[in-house]
Amino acid sequence: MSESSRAEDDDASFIERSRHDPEAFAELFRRYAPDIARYVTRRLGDHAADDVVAETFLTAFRQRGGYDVVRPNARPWLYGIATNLMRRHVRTEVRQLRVVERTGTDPVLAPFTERSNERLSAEAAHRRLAGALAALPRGHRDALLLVAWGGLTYPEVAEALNVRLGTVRSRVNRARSKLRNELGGVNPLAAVSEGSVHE
Amino acid sequence: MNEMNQLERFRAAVPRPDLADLHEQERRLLTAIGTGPSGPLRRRRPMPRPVAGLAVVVLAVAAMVGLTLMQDKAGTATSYANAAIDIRLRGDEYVATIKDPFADHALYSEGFQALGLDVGLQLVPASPTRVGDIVRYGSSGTDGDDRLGGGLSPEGCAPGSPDCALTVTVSKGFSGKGVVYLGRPARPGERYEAHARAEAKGEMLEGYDPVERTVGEVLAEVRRRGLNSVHQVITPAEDGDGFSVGPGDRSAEVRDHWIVWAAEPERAGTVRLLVSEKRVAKNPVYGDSGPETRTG
Repeated sequence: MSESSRAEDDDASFIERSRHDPEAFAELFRRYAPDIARYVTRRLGDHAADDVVAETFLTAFRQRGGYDVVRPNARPWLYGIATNLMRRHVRTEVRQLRVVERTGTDPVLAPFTERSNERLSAEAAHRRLAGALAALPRGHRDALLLVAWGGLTYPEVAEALNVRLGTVRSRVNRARSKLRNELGGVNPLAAVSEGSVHE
Repeated sequence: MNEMNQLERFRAAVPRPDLADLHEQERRLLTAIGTGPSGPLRRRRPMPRPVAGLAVVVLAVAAMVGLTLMQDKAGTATSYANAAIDIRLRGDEYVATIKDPFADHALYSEGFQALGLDVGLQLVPASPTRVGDIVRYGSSGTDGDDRLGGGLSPEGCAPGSPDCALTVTVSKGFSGKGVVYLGRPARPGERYEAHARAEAKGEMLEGYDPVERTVGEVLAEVRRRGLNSVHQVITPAEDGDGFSVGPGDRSAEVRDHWIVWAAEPERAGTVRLLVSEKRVAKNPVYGDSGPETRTG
């Protein structure tokens, strides 16, 4: 792909165009909505995710005038908006994680029961993982999950959360460390065995 | 297995939706943009209450075709009815109730035109969860206040039941030209022109994920449910993005070990499986991290 065609196709060019041709903004939805929906659904469940995803793009559309078009990739911006909106639902997220921790049943997976049945083998590890995620400070959880589930780089997380790169590194490292400690005692083979017993 | 792998496994059970699953969210955005139909609040909306005290006079009654056109004192046409459609002005929008979903589409358009609205309406056979959805639309010359919407009335009713009507809403004073394709129930045996994914809630394979299973596995489930299937052989693109479909029917070549990349409702009782012989790294239908379960 040539530089010129890349420039025409990047997110910033669509956002810039959308300032006088709003319809161009729909391209951002087509590019990112499925990934963001999956990210938000994993964190909040599909019920809350429906609204958060819609609000993310409505907010972005309203704020497009302030987007710095020197940033060709809008992914961090959109994930940042989604993460901000999810903060209204932090109790929902933590409550669902605690349910996983306590019962091994994942409420987020209710619409995907076939899949959850397939994944009983990881149950013990998931319960510990969910408990550890619920216990993380919100900002640490945001940074970690933007990396792990949002696929953002550390600089992109810094952009999304509007914090310094060093802060992102620190938060992610500390979050990973806590998760590692929680999971440390889990032998994956033992987890499979335990899951089989449950089946 | 480290904590990042565990996180990925934790996420993997949540499938990546495709755009068709997000049409309500997309509709809300398009409404804000001003190019789309009304938002999800217009979908499956209850019938608005009649406007009280609105003085209407009968302008014309053409008994031969059973159509009625009414207008208020200001001369604004407020309602129209023929055998196929009933359109009434409710507040700031026209609500069109489809009386016969199988009528000639010219009868629908006739109603809008009688009210000074350049709106065409075509009903297309849709799989159950797409009935009442605007599956396609186009507009030109519209301004920011122009809105088109569609849904079921009363809200949440069962399509096809006697008291469940398809509705289309058009903003009062709609100034442009619009065309709406609205999902309607299919006739027996009729092929769907609009559909959700076959595994979506309310569709034939609800509760079963066929994506990236073998044809043999999926066919076993299809048979267990008393369904039929047809095969669409696809050729995944070499660069991993997308697929193509060659000319001719290759479905006789399909064997049980082939891979199902997507399943679509074909018609009532029949699902269409999009298949290829070889498994490839990236789902050619849904993309990189499609609704498949990604393992960490």
